Amino acid sequence: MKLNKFILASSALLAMSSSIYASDPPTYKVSSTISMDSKAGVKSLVANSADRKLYAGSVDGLEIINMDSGDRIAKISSGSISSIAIAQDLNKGFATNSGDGSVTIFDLRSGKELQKVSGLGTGSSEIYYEPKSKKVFISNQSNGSLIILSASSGENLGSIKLGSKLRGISGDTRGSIYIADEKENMLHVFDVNSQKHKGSIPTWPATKPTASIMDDKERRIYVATASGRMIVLDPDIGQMIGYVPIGIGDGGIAAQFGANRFVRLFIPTTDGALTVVQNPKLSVSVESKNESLGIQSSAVAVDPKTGKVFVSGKTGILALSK
Amino acid sequence: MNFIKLKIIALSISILAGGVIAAEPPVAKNALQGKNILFIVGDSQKGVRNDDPLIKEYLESKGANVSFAKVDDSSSGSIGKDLIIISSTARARELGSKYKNVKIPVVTWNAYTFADMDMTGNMLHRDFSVVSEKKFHNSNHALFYAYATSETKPIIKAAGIPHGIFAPLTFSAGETDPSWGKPTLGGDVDVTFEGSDEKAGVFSYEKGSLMNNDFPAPARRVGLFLGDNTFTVLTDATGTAALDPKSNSWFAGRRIFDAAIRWAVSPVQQPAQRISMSQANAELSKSLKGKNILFVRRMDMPWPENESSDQAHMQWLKSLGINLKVVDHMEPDTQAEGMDLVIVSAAINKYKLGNKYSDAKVPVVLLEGKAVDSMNMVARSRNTHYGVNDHKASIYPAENYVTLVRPSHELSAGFPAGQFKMYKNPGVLAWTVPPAGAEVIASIPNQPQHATMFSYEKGAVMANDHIAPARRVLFPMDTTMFAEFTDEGRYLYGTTLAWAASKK
Repeated sequence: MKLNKFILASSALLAMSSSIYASDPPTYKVSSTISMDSKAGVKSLVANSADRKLYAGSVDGLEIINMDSGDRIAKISSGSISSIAIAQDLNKGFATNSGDGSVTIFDLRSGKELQKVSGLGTGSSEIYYEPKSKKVFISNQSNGSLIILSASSGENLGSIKLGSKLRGISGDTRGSIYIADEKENMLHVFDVNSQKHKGSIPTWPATKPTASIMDDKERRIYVATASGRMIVLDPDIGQMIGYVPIGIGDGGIAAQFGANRFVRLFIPTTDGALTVVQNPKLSVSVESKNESLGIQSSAVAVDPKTGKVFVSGKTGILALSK
Repeated sequence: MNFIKLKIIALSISILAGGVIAAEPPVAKNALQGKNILFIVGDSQKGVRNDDPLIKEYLESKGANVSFAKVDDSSSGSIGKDLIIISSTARARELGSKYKNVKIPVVTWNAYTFADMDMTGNMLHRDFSVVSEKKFHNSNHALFYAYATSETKPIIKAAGIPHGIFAPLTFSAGETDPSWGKPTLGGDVDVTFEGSDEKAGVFSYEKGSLMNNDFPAPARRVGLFLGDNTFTVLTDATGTAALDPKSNSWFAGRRIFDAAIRWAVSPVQQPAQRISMSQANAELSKSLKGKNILFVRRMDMPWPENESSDQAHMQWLKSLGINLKVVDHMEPDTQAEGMDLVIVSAAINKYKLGNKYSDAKVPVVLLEGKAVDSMNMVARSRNTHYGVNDHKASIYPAENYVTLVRPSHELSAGFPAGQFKMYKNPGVLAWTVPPAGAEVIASIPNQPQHATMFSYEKGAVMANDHIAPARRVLFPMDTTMFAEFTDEGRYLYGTTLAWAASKK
């Protein structure tokens, strides 16, 4: 019940309220740039700490890079790669080709293509491997369907129409995956075992969810959106419990989990900004925002071992560190 | 005649002008569509997120037009608005009672304004409180759990949740400082904290109901429990949780908030039309003629005064065209089967009556104030939860006036709020402290904590979590008091019978 000073402009109030916004200078800087064969820009990034490899997808295919040295290890010319998933337990990787509607399955050790699953339809957005069910899920942003593959055999297990414009997928260890629906402003909850839709979680007060990441221990989902806000959701209750401002445009998200319940989130947006969000003691706030890195897409990955952050830059993959 | 009485009279005139009997209108899901809201805000406490802008967004997402205002803005800013909301962020000392008299609904979660607007008394931690995480750590944790008092309460009904415990706040989502208030008997307690009806997290007054200091609510008033940053962490089941009915009703914090705001802007319950007392019996007969009513009494009482009062009472009931069946209090309560109503006379002996008719599936009007506990209408502690005003050694003297606190209720029969001469001379009058599931119609002058006439709708939560199998009313008419009725008092009683018998 304090009113020391009143600010009439609602927009100003909005900015103040949504978080304790830090105006500190950016804390993450470019430590190195990894050159790519493709000059078209990276569309997807996955850092696999187990094999110290960085997987980068572009319109020219998939490049596999040594995460520590930056050297290229292998390349799979499999078309325009929109997303990548790693199944370490199966020694397999999966990459979607949004152009021809296929998924390329490759060997993690050799970096060689093992199989190509075709006929999945164009418009695939994100791919996610669920280790308990050993299934791969592919969201489709054109027809709102979720396609299910056997990770072991590559067999197409079918598809289910969930919504309108499906984007990023995250999952927990309890058999649920959460699929962002950019058009319907919600996350669809899907049971990987029964393969049934289990309801939807609105992303209000944000719209256009594009990517999400799960903190399974704390039961939080962090959702990047294209509406300038990142939302924190409790997946059990299914509700928003916090939000912060981020850049505008398609957002990607990657997380670094630390001791004492610490979480740091990296959210690049297609306006070129990188917003770093911290969530110590489950109280979310913006740590820094950098608009001068020249970020080219929403692709982002974090190396949990070194804390290095990888994003798409003008001349290759930017490795960022404090 | 003081200013407040003048206002009561003025209000009564306006009630009479427009009066028609009507049940409370339902609260529409889209009640906020097109509504103009003035939102009084300030700065949040240091280091605490300010949820006011998010609340504005939320209300706008429901179709409302929301304007911010500061505490020192003129109250003329409320002209043309449908609702005023006062946030906890507004500085209460500067706001004072600025919006106390506005004839526009007010929803406030600024606990100090509860007192300033006469929605509660003014003593901190007795009449209202703000529970600070650091100062009241254990209490704060207790506030993660709340209790919906009864499905029959308007806001709970609008929220669509069952009575009982639920979780209004998200656990482990950051600190927040909720509040509570203790409304008067003219208000409805919709949600409580810590299992105490005196710690209301959500409470409401219908327009015209008496608030603190017998101040009639100029329009609907709602008190909510939110702190500066509570809105964000109000629970709201969606996704998988929404598919499980128990999880769905457990995580209902935002639904309660939403229902409270919608109720505030919905059409008010209009008072019943007041009639001339010369037409009273004819009007009552219209409602009661042909009704089958069971009259439970002690047969052949040894006290002539009591016997003659009961006889006169029964004669009057028959004169209205009621089919009256009279039974002794020792008869089994199966006598109630097929009846439209049971009247339990104050001539019964509580000890002999036992708990008969407590679970009767037909409406019951209880006249014996001491039997409220055995009828599950009031909790069990005599002289704490119930007692009598009388000529004996009571600390509460005999009384013939009551205070009508809820004029919009049909049981108020169109009479205005304020003191009401029920009997010609002082006599025995029951006093009670009913639970929140009741709707108090009348208290006793200078005993604002004591209800003397109250009702339960069918399905309401009564004392000790008993559910009303049908309507229940306590009407304070002791054994010899029928002959003492004023014309108005007898009409109020007749209206009570008509209301109770109108719905099983």
